[in-house]
Amino acid sequence: MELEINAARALMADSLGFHIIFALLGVGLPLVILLIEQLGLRRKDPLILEHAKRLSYAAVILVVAGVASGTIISIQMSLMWGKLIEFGGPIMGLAFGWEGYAFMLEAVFLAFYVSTWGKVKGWKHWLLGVPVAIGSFGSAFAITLGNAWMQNPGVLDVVDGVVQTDNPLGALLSKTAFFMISHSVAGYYLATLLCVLGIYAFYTLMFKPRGKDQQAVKQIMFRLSATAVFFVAITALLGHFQSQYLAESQPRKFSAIELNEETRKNAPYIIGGKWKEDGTVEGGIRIPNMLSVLAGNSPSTEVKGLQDFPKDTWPMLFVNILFESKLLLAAIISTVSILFTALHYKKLPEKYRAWRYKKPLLIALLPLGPLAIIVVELGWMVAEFGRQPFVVNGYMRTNQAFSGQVGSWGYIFPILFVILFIVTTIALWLLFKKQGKIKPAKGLL
Amino acid sequence: MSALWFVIVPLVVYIPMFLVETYIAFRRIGKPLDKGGEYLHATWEATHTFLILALNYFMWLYSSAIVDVARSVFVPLIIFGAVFIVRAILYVYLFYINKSTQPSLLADWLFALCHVAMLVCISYVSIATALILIGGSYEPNHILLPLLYPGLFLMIPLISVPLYFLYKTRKSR
Repeated sequence: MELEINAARALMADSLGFHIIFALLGVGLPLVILLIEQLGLRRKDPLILEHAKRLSYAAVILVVAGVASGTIISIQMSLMWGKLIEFGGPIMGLAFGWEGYAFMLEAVFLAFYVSTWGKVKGWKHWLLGVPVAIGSFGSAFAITLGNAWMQNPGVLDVVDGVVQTDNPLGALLSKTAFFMISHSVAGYYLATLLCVLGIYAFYTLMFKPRGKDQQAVKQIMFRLSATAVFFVAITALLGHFQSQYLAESQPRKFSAIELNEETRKNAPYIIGGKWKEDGTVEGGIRIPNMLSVLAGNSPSTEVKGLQDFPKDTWPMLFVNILFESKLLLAAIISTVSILFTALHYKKLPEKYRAWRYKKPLLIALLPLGPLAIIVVELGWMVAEFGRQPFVVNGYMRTNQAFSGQVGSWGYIFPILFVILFIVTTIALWLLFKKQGKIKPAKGLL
Repeated sequence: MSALWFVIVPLVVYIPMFLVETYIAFRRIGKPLDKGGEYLHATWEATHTFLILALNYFMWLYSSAIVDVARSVFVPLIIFGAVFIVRAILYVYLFYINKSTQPSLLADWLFALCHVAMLVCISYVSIATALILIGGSYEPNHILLPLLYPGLFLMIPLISVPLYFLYKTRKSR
């Protein structure tokens, strides 16, 4: 039985890990396309509009992969984790029901938006893209709403293994939901902006655009990087406040993430330490008082320690490594994107400004998108592994949610996902390779 | 009964749209992309949102039945999922990677047959689920309905216009 449960967990983790890549791009790309189309319309530049058009085709390819992996997750949820659905259905059902509407809005309008390039023109076409962005945001909002309830469900009334409620909406809308949704969605936007920025850095390095094309690409890159810096700030701020609230609302997870062994005031912040089996921390650099300051803005803030919780409720203790890796990568991403944007500052001497489009900085921009996707993945891993051994925090353990066998059938999905990933990557590569020959389309304005 | 409408209505909308796409998938076999080999590109994602909606609503409105249903439809649902991904792979391959004027007969046939396999699986799952629901006494989550109705009434008029134009235009890409 234990083996079956672990196989089901691995399969679910694999599917979610794969789906998140496409889901985050599906959430972020509509906003990025709108930003670029708006730039093109404002400047009446058909070349910029052509770039937006190409990106919208990329969005369609990504939605194909996202729909496929999302459907598989629904199927796997019902086949393997039916008892979770049974348990939380009266509350979680609302979030997933809304997700259906939001997804429908996104998919139908994306299809319409893509098929009306050149037929519906100017700002009218731009407006058709707005429901796509609203729908994609709504999908992320609803799904994360359901997940936030699993992270911090509050006080539940459970009868015969089913949650009882007369106010599912009230149960879903919580401070945890606000922080999880805002922080994660800002992260998706940031990751997508950086992916597209990387594509244009590649384009500049590869095709060395000249004249109007160069001008268009530079304008797009500046808009993308400036928006990315905005989201860097938003994501960081929200992340900080989310952590503070985590210390208060989910201290078990917080202590595991932040390597806090025992409940104390003046808790140190430990960088690079490692959990031992007995709940003590080995090694690392200790910054005195820092964890208390981060958790409650004062060294006298008391922070709960892992040893205060029964050992059989400890989360997976490698979450701190995932969290530290996430912070390190986020710092790298932020530094490079801020640097690139800052070099656009007009009052800077030209010898510094000229560095914006020099080879080293353009090369540094290339991996930012994939790194940001890894950061998002790490963030979700911290959230999910940190909630273990519970699936609904404090109420239902993951093994209690398991309802069926995976069998050998399940192993087909990771293989198919890999093929889908390869095919999608090739298709996107071919699409963007075309940009070398991009021509302004007269019919778009 | 009202909870059941949330499952039945999207399924009823989905089936004719899916049949149209199945027909086009067969019609285009062996034809180059520029000579009748095109496809209703963007509509497929729109069509499948209805299936996802039906699946979603069933899972969450009939959460009390999900364990029993999942046990009885395990194999067809797994096959459906696998074929669904294979179809997505073939779709990306046929319309975004393989741009040659020579049609790929094997991929064309596989692509079209995926639709048939999906239809068989969905039909089996739907019938088996209906029988389980009829045979058992599963109480739907009525508490969710007042919060789901407004979305349904808002969404149907909102998406029907773009959907109409999408299906009216043969070559949507």
